[in-house]
Amino acid sequence: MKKLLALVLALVLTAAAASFALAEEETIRVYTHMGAQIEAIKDAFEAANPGVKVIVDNCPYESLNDQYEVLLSSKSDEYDVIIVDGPNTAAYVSRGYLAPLTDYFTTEEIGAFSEALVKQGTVNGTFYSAPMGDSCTILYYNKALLAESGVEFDFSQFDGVNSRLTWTGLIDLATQVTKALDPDGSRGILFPIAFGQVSEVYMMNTLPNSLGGANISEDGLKVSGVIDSDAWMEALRFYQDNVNAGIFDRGLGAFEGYGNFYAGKIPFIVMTTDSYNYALAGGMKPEDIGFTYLPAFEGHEDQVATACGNWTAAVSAFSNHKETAGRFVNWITYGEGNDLFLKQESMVPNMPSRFTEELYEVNPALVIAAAESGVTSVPRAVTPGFNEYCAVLNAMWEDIRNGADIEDSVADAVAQLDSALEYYAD
Amino acid sequence: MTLKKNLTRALLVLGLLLISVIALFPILYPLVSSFRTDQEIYQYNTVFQLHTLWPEHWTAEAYGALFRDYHFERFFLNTFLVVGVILPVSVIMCSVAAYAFAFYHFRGQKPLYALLLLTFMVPGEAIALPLYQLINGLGLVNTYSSLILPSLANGLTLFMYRQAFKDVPISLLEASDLDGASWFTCYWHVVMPLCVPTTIAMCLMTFVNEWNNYLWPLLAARKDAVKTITVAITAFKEENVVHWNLIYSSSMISALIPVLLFLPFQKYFVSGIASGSVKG
Amino acid sequence: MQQRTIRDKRDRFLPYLLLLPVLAFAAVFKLYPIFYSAISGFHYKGNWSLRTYQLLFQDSVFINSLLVTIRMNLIMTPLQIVLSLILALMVNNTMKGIGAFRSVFYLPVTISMPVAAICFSMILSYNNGVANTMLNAIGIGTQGFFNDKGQAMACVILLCTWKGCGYWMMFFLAGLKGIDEALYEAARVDGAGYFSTLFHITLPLLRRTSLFVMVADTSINLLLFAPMKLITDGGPRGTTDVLMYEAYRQAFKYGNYNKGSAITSVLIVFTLLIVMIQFRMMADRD
Repeated sequence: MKKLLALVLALVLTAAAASFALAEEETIRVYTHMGAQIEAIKDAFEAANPGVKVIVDNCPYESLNDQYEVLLSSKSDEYDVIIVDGPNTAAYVSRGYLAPLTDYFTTEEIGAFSEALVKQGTVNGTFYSAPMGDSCTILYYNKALLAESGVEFDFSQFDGVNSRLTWTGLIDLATQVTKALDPDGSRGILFPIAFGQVSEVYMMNTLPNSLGGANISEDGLKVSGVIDSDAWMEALRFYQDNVNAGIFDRGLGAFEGYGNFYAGKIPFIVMTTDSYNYALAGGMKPEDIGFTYLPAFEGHEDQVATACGNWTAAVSAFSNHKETAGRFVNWITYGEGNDLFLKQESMVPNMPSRFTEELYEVNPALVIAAAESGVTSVPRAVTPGFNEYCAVLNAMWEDIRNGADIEDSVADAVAQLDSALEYYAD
Repeated sequence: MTLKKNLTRALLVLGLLLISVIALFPILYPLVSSFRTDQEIYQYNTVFQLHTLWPEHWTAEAYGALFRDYHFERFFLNTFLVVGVILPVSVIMCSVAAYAFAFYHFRGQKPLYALLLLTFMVPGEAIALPLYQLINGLGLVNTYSSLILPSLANGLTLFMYRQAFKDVPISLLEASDLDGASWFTCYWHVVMPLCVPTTIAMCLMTFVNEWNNYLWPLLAARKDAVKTITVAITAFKEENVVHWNLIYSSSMISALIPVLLFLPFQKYFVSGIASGSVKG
Repeated sequence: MQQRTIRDKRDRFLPYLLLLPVLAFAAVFKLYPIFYSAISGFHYKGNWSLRTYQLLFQDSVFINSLLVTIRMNLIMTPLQIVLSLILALMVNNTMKGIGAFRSVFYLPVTISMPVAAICFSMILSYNNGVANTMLNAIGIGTQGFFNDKGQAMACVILLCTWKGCGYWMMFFLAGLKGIDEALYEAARVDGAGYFSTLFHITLPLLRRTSLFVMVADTSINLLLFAPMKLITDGGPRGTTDVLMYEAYRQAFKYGNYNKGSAITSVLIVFTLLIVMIQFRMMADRD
């Protein structure tokens, strides 16, 4: 009898627990331009958190920022988790779009992330956006094209820490290769060297950074005295001269160089580490993809700078499910969700302990990122006016590429940005 | 005399052909490119050669992939559904209002008409943000209604119908008036049948506008379940990859449908807009 | 102009009832957002203030955009009107197969702007565009097109004219069809040539159509910004940064909705002024 009673009691309890769980059924919505990638791993989160359903909505990459402005300035509670480009954190916090993550991360957990990434996600001492991964700019070359040109060069001599190519050396090499491959232009080699994300501060600012130039003033509200410094002027002149000489690419938009590199139309290109996998998807054979450390300016070997930073996960300030959303953000950045994400994307990990042999097997280019990360990597400008900063400076890089007078362009950009950033002054 | 006539005619045809080439040329490259693979697009895009314009291997793979992998039929259905509701409702609502403006005298008639026309001159893009907040407040984001409701009232349709109605001989209306017919009988059985070309023209214009609408659907209908064609096309530009052949093939299909609709109705289109834009 | 009226005494409220749906939709989905937008231009950081406008008129970017907008419209609108009139005159005959030509000329209208933008950036691409390939072949050399600050605006105008002329052609064609054949017959008997007929009969009779096309084309062109959003980003060096694009950028890229609204309001008032002037100029002579 007792046994029966116990059984009944147990049944009732389970039923109660089950109905409790049913009542607890909670749905969180994620908004991102990486819909397919997050969709593929979200099951694991649902499995680990019974009663929670994750819905992922994809947004075209080009309109992601516009959509966030509309959604969040309308205080829409539609999305709980948003995937934000790291440097936008400060801007979004200043507009009140993000909820602090401090309740969902312990101090140790935050401390585990790479330092630059924590800095990017922290505004006024509060942690708002957690890194999904990191990125690193490296130099790729097409081994097949090099072999065909007959130009011999030993890339294994570089270890990044003590030695790497210089820009002068690279320009020499790339010119030789191109001349040997396509002496009369009939082969359709576009340019000796291309910048994959051309006219985007993410990649282009590494040039002035590598000469010791900063991105923005300490308080993030001024560019005068920064982008009109000697380091910047020298970098801009170097860039324009080489575009004019036909060495660096011209006329290709950001990311257009990628496909042309995969198709063998460009022997050397600066891209990010995760481009290794895009190159494979774009039809390159693994044995043809060569990569090395980003070059340094001669005499500035100790100042060489690479770009870093990546997409981050954050909780919307208008979410009605902050607790669960915070758990999801923790899971996909710190927790095991990130391991799944990393395996799938093979991007630069968001913390030193995630650099593993297993990862290098999927993407050997990450070896370079491991060496550069935390040593040469420079975070993008930290400013609440990051979108303005990008719009004005991207346009400046593009204008200078197309032959605009450097002094005029810089003066214009300084005037525009200083007055635009003043809006955030108080 | 005949020689001169023939010469003028030959020149005219030559001019017409030349302009046709200008009108068609920009569409040819994407059309041809939609029949090749992505790799081939990159392979032949430098150093101009025969294969830049003529694929080496013709393949309809991009078209197949649209429907097989990306379920484009869903976006077509969505677009047709949205346009399919907007067309009849918009035409009836605007023509009824035009009927009031054309055949009645009432207080505030002129200022109301002016206000409506001016209001509709403001483009949707200029007011996208408050409109979004409104739709969001009504809980209509990501529903067909968010795409349909803001497009129902249309200034051009109202204007065109009012102009067309003013051409209707008053005697016809007076005759039915004497028969004691209701306003609806007059509108539906007397006036509207006389304005069929206007209706065709307005349907075509509304169709093309809605079919090609871009910014608003992007903001208001993001989910696959309600997404329209133009928005779906932009998804082929990913962060690191641009699927050119998919962009080309989807663009070509989406351009084809308005063209197919326009061809048979072209004749009515001209007479339909005639009364609106020609007379005062 | 005499208003024809039927049964206005019998049902005083009927016209309002008939207008109600359109009025309601216009009020909710157009008037309210316009009103809201106009109001937010008079806010600065959450408070009522004229500061947004004050800053706006000191802003060199805004002044540049204003000038760019005016310059673009002074060229583009007349160009489109003249070209579409010429097109309409060419297809206004009864030749066999003329319907096919009309359809072909109208074809660009049916292509959506994102697609048209892709087509034109391919053709005018710096490195591998067909245009540059041909220019190189005849020895003119590579041009910057959308990347050249002297040519970018011309390229935008080219794109919009390509896409727009077929549309306005249809309106002119409708106007031409409405002209009484007898007038041409009489002119022919008088021995008037083609151009004399054109300038003395056709054009004066097209005044209504021209007014309509002018007003509609102006208001569309003043508010145009899709090619800038899709291709030039307002560059190079701000040469294609029209007001509407600047407003879009402020509101959607920078999250500064007050400033975006202020710019839109200036633009709308400006458009209304121009349209009113056009009406005065063209319609007063009746």
